[in-house]
Amino acid sequence: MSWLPTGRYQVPAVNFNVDKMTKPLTGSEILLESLHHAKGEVCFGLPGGAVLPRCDALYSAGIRHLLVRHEQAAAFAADGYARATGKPGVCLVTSGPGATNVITGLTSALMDSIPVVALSGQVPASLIGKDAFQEADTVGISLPCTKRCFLVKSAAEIPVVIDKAFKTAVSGRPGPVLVDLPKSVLMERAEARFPPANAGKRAERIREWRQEDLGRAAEMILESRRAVLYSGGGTIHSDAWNELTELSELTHIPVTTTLMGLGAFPSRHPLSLGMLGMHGSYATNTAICECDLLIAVGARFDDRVTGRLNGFATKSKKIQIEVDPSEINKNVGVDAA
Amino acid sequence: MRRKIRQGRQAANEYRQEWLRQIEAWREEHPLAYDKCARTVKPQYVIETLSRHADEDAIVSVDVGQHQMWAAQFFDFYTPRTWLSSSGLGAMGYGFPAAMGAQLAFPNRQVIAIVGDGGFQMTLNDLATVAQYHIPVKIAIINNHALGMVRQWQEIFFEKRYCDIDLNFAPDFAKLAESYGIRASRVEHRADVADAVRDFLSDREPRLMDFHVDRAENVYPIVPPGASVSEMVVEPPPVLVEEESLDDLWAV
Repeated sequence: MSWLPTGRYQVPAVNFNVDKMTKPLTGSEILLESLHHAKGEVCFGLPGGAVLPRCDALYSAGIRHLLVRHEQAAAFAADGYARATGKPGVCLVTSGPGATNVITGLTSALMDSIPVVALSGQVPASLIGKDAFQEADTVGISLPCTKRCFLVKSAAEIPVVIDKAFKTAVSGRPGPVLVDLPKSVLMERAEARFPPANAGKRAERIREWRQEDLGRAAEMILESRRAVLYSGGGTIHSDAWNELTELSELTHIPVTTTLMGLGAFPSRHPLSLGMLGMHGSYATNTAICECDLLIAVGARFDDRVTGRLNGFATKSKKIQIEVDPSEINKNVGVDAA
Repeated sequence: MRRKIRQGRQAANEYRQEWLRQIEAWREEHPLAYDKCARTVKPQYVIETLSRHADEDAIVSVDVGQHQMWAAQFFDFYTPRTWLSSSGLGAMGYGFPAAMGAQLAFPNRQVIAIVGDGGFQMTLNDLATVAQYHIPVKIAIINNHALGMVRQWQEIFFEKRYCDIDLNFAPDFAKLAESYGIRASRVEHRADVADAVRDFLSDREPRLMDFHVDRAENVYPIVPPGASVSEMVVEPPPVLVEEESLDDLWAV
């Protein structure tokens, strides 16, 4: 990594001592130790008044922090990191404008189910609601554009919140999570207890196939003559591309992918149909119109894919393979899921 | 069930082969195509050339608009997690910072940001970040001097009443990148594209390449908004009268 930042950015991680369970640390130090626990290695961000305590701790913590020139880029860079690795991308921004500038990035991550963890500064707890300098209702603003968001109320709860934030971002259907950290919380000292790595794993509602549905789907596949596999971003998020290829090659069913799904199936594969939808090829879209069975894998029947709904794949039965129960029958009714 | 599946598969496979032949016939009828003999730099040709010379595990990050669709149509992907695109929200300005993020995760892989001249102007301030940390992303600008997808919709669905799409007042992107200390150049001729792309991808340095492409090129096929997939428009309508220069139209 010869091109990586040199000098102070490569200071080795501070050893937070063996007695860290009892020695009071500042909220910033607890936050960084929590990031270590969550295996956050890189973060993208831009400092400001409300996060100065955290920047001070970063200085000596050895987490690679990249200074971007606008917070929107921090969110997009964290998103790019997450898409390329499958691990959560982290961005750190200050209160007020720092937080509002990441909203576009978080919304994009939510729409595409990308695990991004945004850590935003907030004015000291005693000033919240007083229209303080660079105050914004960050949790309020980010509620509709994150999978979950937290306002941290004390330094002692930071380890649990960060642990939850990282686990929520990647579990079930992934998505962005925001953690709002008031300056007073970052400065106060507390005894931190770090949850073990396997603790508190949230049981998310993930759709499982029932045996009878599985049998019905298998029969539909056997009976079909003109089947098409329609694969979306979910195939990539759930690392299911090998299974997709296996299913396609086993059944000789060609695969079309959405814009989100590109890469899950090799473009040059003889069974590849490329992208479908608004700018899909003639052959692919005609195949969708003429197919008698459409198997959706980790795809959500976006309007740019379906066009007018009552004209989409009208001659076909449909099977939907999907982890998120709220996606079943949302835009297009299916025969098995 | 297992026996039923085994028997069923035999019969199904014959239908499947017939179905695949039918799809192949449709593909031959209307392949994804562009004018390969054009004198101008066709954006699809730039994307194809990038695809041909990129590593198999190269990560491609795009913005939103025409270049995004051409990249989706003409770039070949071999492995998952190599395509980064703000797909659902369609946030312009995504491509370049996302490429930085991916490059941080994979310092030794090729990361190519294919961006439009519109989207790039939304986040190009992070050229400073690339220069500061020497992040070796490759920035390929598909520059048609316009908000191309909006221009395309105005052309097709609003009878060429062009409005607010003119991006002629942009900086010289190559000079701008150089002012940050990033190697950059501009490509204006079709004959230069292949050599430029080879050179562009040959090293492990941050680089910017400003491809001045055919301003009138549109993305086809297109399913018009509100239409059903079967009503897709496969090819541009034939030109009946000589096209007015787009520059004149936008000068208003």
